Amino acid sequence: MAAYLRRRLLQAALTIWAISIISFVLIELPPGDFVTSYVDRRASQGIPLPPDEVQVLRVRYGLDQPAAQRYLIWMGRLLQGDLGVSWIRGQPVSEIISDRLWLTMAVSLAAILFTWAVALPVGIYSAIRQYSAGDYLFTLLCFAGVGVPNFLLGLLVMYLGFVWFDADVGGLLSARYVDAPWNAAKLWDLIQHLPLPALVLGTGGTAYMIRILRANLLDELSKPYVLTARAKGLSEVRLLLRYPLRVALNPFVSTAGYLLPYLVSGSIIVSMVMSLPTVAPVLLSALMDQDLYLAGTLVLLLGILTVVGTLISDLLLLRIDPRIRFRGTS
Amino acid sequence: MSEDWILSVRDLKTHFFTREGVVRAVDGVGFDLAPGRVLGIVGESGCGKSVTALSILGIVDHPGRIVDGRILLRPAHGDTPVDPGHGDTPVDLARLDPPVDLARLDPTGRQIRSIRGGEIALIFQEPMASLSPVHTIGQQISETIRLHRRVGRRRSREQAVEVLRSVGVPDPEEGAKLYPFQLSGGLRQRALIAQALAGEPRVLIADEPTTALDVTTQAQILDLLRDLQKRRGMAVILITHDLGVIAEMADEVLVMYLGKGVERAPVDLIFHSPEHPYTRALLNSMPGLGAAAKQALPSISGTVPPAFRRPAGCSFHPRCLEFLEGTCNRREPEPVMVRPDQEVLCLRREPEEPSQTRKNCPKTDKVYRNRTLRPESGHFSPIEQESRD
Ligand SMILES: Nc1ncnc2c1ncn2[C@@H]1O[C@H](COP(=O)(O)OP(=O)(O)O)[C@@H](O)[C@H]1O
Ligand code: SF4
Ligand SMILES: [Mg+2]
Repeated sequence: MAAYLRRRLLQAALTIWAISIISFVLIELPPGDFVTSYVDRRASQGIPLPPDEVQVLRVRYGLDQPAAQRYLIWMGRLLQGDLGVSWIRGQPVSEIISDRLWLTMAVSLAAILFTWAVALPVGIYSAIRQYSAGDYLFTLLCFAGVGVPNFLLGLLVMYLGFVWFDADVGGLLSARYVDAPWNAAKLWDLIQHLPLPALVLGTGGTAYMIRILRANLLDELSKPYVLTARAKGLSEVRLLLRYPLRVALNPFVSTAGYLLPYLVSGSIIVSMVMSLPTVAPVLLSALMDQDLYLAGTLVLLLGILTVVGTLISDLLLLRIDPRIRFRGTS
Repeated sequence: MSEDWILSVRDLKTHFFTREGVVRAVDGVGFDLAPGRVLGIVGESGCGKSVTALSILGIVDHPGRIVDGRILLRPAHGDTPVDPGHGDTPVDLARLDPPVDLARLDPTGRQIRSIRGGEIALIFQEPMASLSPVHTIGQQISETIRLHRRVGRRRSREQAVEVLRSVGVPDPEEGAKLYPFQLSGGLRQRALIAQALAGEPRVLIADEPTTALDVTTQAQILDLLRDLQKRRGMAVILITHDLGVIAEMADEVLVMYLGKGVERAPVDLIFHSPEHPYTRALLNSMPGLGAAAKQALPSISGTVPPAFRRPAGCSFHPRCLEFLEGTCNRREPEPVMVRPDQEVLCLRREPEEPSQTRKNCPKTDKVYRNRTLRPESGHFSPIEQESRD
């Protein structure tokens, strides 16, 4: 058990390290660097930068040094909590993303809660009433849920909100709270804004989860231990909750860790359509501008969140499935 | 058979209504089980033994359903699962004791659930797959105890350890804390037996309890079952395809073929005067039955036909060594009592069949020795019999 934990933590650390290198390389891959694109932009605006100023910039950001050196400088600053400065926006990265990061996590959490709240009962229903009218209906909805792009769903929700309630259902905060400091009222405002984005972002994952849960449960329900449990006099409900559901939930829990990056990458267009102040649009524009500090930091942060999420779901799995617990020790 | 039974199954029929057609998994099975006795049910794989067991407990899975027959359970003295009427009427034994027909009970209702595990317990063939992989042995056994007895968590855990001790688990305190995958096959089967005993049932159904185990462990588990049965006075239904196990354990035997009970008799008669051709063939296929057996074919010719394509007439006729053209493939046999306690489902044992005399139906030993020398039917080789289907 302890050995398993040690190995798992080491694995997580190595993964984060690898992600940092990959995010660095990804940012560096396109030809040119952000100074070049800045120079281009200034030139296109008709106010070109003098060459010596360009050189100063290059030295200041270590762009004249070898890539390995630049990576180390970047990492060193990150470890000191200095996320760098977005050159394009002329703002510290931490300032740009801190609020957005929290809002992203709030939206993601809401989407995950939505996914679980819907997928769990529907998946169970579909499994124990296999081939019933309800099962067919949900199957149909699931295919629709997987097939319809999120942004289209977002547009639809916005449109319906406008037509039915004459309300702009976009955004995560009411106008008067956008720049207000965080307090209970602002939090409450956020919570009230969460359901629709959660619905739009969570639908695809929900449909997928329903299918997984249904398949897993059907698999478990046909196993002899379910029959044994029935033969000893357990009622159907207790039998379902106590035995197969626990086993069927394993893959459910283990995929929870991957939901975060899935939601973030899936939320770029939705965030734009529904004007959600998440990190996704920032990430997109930073990538297009080759804004090294902003893009690299975002990719890295999301990577770390994913690794941590996966770690958490693995630890949860460890708790609910003794087979993993003991295989770890042996 | 005698009226002294606690469980009586009568003309049970359980069919599966699949998309491909109706599978008559159990299609006319009957037996009486007396207290403290062991009934062996034997037959090739797929002949409906397990479905019979599941039907008794009312846990046949969709699309299966009991379509006919009765499963009568006589209530234990002292407590009555059947409502005896209004509580204050004088106790009338005849009214207090009517058997419950399990086939008529709501399969999810409280009454059948108290019988499952409490009156009739079931252990399965695969000890690994039959235990929950995510709970300890102790958790699973104490859950059974709490389902059938009014005891608290703590007490039920202690009792679970006691049951484990009684089935010969070494160091039961520690054993209770283990998960099924941490146990050997033999210990798992003991744990499964312990769980079945935890509800203190009067009837134990063991469905191929030793099939998945190695030979040494098989013998140990059979010894344990016999010992427990004697000590607790339980009635046992032992399901197996192994006549050796039957010889060792059973008092009465029911031979099944394609969902039907084809012969029912005390164990001695089954081994010394079998009447049904299928029973004889099964005995013949048994290894180590002496020189006579070795000369005979090592197994029964042909295979069990697919479940939807039930042969017309007697369903055993494509493989039967006593097949009679025009009779066996036309008429369906009715059960006949060939002796006071021996029932057979075979046209050629029915008294009114003209060509049927005792002389033409030689005693078993002769059948073994002269398998191909049968009257009327000529010299059928097994292959010809198969092609007759
Ligand atoms: N769920 C099911 N659906 C359809 N047919 C089934 C099902 N379960 C069992 N059967 C059929 O019932 C017959 C008897 O099966 P079973 O009782 O398991 O045989 P045995 O235990 O004697 O080996 C088999 O032909 C099998 O195909
Ligand atoms: S009825 Fe005919 S085919 Fe069937 S077992 Fe008897 S002799 Fe064989
Ligand atoms: Mg079976």
